[in-house]
Amino acid sequence: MIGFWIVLIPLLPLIAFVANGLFGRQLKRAGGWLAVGCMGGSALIGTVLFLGAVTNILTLPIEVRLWEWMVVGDLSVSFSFYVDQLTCFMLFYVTFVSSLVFLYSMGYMEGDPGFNRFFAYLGLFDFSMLILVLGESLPVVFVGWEGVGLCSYLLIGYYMSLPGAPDAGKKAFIMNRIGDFGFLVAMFMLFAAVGTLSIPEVVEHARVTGLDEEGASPLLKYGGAYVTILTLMFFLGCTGKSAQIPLFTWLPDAMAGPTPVSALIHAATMVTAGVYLVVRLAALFALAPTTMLVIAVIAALTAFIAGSIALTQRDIKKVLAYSTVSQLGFMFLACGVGAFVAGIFHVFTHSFFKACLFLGAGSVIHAAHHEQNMFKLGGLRKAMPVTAITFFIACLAIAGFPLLSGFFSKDEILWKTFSNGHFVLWTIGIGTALMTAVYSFRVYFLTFCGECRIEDKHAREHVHESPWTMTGPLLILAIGAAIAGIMNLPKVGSITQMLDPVVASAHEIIKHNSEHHAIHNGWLEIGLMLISTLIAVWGIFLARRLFLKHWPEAPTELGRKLGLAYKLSYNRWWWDDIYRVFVGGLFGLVAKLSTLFDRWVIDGILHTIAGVSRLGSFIVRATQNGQVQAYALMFLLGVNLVVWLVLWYG
Amino acid sequence: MAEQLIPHVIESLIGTGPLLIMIFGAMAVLVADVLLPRDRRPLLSVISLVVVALAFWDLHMVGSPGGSGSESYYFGALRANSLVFLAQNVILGGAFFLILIAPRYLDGKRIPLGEFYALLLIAVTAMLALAASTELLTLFLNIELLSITLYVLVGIENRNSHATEAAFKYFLLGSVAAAFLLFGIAFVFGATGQTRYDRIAEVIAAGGIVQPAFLAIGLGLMLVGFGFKLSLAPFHMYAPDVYEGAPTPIAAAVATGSKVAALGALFHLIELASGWSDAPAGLWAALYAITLISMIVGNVGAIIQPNFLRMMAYSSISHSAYAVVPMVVLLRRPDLLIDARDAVGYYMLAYTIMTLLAFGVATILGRQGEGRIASYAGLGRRAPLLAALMALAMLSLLGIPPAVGFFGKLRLFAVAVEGGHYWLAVIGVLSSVASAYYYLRVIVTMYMQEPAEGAEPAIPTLDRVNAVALSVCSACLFVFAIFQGVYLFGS
Repeated sequence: MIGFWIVLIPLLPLIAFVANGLFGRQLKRAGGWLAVGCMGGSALIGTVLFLGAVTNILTLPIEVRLWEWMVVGDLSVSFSFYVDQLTCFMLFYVTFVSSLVFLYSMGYMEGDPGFNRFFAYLGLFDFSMLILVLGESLPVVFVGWEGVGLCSYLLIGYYMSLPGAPDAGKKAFIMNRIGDFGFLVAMFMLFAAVGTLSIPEVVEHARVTGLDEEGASPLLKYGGAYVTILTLMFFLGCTGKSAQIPLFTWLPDAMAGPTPVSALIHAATMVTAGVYLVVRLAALFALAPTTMLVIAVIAALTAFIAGSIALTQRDIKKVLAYSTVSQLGFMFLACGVGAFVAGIFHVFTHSFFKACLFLGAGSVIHAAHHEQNMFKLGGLRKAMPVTAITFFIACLAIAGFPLLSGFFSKDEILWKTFSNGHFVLWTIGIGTALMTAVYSFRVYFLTFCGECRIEDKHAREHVHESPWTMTGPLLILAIGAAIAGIMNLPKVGSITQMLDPVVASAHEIIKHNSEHHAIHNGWLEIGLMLISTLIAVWGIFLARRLFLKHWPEAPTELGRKLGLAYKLSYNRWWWDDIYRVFVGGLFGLVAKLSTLFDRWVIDGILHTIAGVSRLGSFIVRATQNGQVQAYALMFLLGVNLVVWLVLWYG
Repeated sequence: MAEQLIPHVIESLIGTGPLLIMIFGAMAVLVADVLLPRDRRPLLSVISLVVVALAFWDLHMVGSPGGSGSESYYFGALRANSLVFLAQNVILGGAFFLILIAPRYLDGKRIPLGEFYALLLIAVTAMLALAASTELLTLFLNIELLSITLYVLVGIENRNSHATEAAFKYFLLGSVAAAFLLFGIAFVFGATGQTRYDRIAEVIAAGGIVQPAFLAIGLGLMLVGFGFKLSLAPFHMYAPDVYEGAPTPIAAAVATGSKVAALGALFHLIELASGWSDAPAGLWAALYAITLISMIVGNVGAIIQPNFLRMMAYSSISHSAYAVVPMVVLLRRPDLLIDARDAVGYYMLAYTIMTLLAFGVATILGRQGEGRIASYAGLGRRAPLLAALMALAMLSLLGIPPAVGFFGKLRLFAVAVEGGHYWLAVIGVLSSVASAYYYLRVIVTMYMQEPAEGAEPAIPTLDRVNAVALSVCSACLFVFAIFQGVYLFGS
């Protein structure tokens, strides 16, 4: 029975997709409401499942076998869903945030000519995302992984006529392909070693290997480095999907899509798929300390670089995009230092405050006639009180202001980084936390406070609060951003305890294989907590001084003083340009060489084969002269062949 | 007699319910043809649809023994197992599709509806029975019943000299093939003294074969007969002429239902032969040779065919050859029975879906569809839906994932590899690569070429029934690729 409800979760968005995709023209606005209803239904089931998991009423894990998908040789993949605590957790927030974004889109997309197309894509996206989360085996997860990639591509390029939008879509797609290549290779390697792609079985293999329970583990069949390479390949997949160095540059460009899409796909759900994958396969990653270190270092660098870029961007959505990349860095940092639960908890809190920030930005953009440059906004607090207050709460949360959700999750990550002995990474993390506070409040002050700088007088008078369909989700998300942290307070409702069975094996492996132990010191923890609190508050005041009190002179002055650092940040570390020159140039060269090879070698061989085939074809046709006698003759030759073979062969 | 007479007959009657429904349905169509006023004749297609649907329903009421279970009816003459069940499903589904697609085509050609539907239903009955035949004489009778109805159907458009010629060629060569089949049956009977497969198997198992060469030759000559039905080279010569001359829906039936039935019957025979542990290797070699030749002739021959239906004829030669691959393996490795059966069964399904889709579009295009491939130029612009469906069919025939064609070939060649027949798999895959040439040419013509100035053909019209039938058929291309585990319905 519960299987039915679980299947219903991804099925409802699929219904929304089909209805809007096929009958959009007839349904019109009703199609949107249908989609909201479907997603709401999913969210309801997701919430019930989550409550069941928190209170331990549900016996987990549940496996729902739907059908045998492919059975070829040794490979047997069944299309099954696997629901454990982690799945419940993911289902809960994905469906919850999605349904809010769906509702918000009712207001945001109103009157858009592609209204139903938009909801069809959103439905397909949620279907794929939920398949990704629910998949029992890696191929099924991969189906979802590709599906969300496709929807992301479609939605980034949604405004087809907008300059840059189709290109941004292509960029995202190509970057993700590189990552998907890693995912695929990792799957092949995994299958070659253990002969299964079912996630629970893989985790079990990893556990046995890690704890040396049996002599010859299949995972070590090809040597110790095998697991390291394999996990690095998985991580390559994650860098694509979750926008980490070196594949992060697509995410800021993806902001060309409609803002609800940025909130849902490029902040709250899809981009966290990489973190989900790492936590799912935590035991496997725990086997490869080198990979873990690589993840931690790359994640910390990504967090820092993206955070620094966010400081100087002028487009409100670009700031939020780089902020997302930076926060994703935090999540991977947690995974890299072995604090998987902290990582997934940050995914959770981040989805609330980042969705709230993006939807708030969308509300502003909606009201200000698609003006996204913060330098041309300002003072919107009076006209849009709900948007302003929710945005403020979300900013506090992301900055890590005490007792709001971001404080708990980020602090946990920093503490785990410190306690596991990664002091340098901790320093980078603290630095990033400071920048986070500064850039988020920079957005707040520039957009909502000070003078209104909208040039067009008509537009300025026209600024208005958004309809309830938009402010309602904002309020709910802001409440979530404020209180979601409580869920991980000891004794109140502990996500850590709930998710423990999922990552228990990974923790065991890490403990089993490492010599030095993590630091456990309550006073130290509180001390560090104080430091990060001070950092957050300092950041907020810094932002206030720079961007509210002394704007624009003080930041300009500062930028001139910092010189290179400012240029580095403003030009996004020239990352895109480096790619264009080096990677683009290199591939151009390879392409030219390939053309030559293709023209002379491949085509030559092909033309020869084609010539021979055509010759054969002429011969066959020549025998086919239309005379029945000739046909019968051929027939008799065949009979002769058969009889001779039967009598004389072997 | 092992079985209790009366209960066994009753059980057989119930078990072969679909056959009875079809036969009585065919008669009902004939009667209705006489009774209905001329302007009500189109109702005949509705009656035929109802008959096929009833048979389909009854087939599922009877169900399949499931798994590797097997049931025998009429004292071993017919067999029911999961392969037969699947084949019968495919045949009935295909018939339903063809009856949906055909009416407008038949109107255009002024083909008499009553005869057409009645004969088609009889042919389908013969197919259903043929797929289940496990007794030599039953097998022969069913093949003949099927052949004779098809001869008539091929030539039903009697004002068209091409059709008459095709029917006549089909008939002449079919008679030759029937003679060899009967000859083979006589040898097998002579060597074993039995006509029931299960009894023959008992004789073989008891070591009672005095003249192994007789049995081997008998089986070899039966292969010739099957080679004709499956249009395997070098018994394929009639195929291009028949596909071109026959009404397109009938060409589709010859290409799909008739072949599926023959594949089912051949599989029973090969299953029997594979139990003969000290069989001469020549039997295996003969089937191997036929398969190999067919793959090459089919794919090479299709390359320069300018006519769409002739090209499809050659393509169906190579597809028959692919479907026989697991049987070649089975002769050497009887332990792979289940794998081979599943592979052949899945391929029947896959092949029928994609071939019917291609023929369905050709039927709708009518005169244009039977014509030169060059006349498809610009179809992508004139009739986007039809062109897209045709393109899907071509891609699936070519074996592009994720359509059924890919998984079908994958399963067949996986059996070949598992059974150690690497060369067969390699040549199969290579020849299938070569098929890209002529399948893709259709797509290229539709989308990248424009018809000559002034020769712009009319835009084909697509009524709602046809659109739905074709769409469902194309959806099946993917549905059965995703739900591979449930294709054996009962099991």
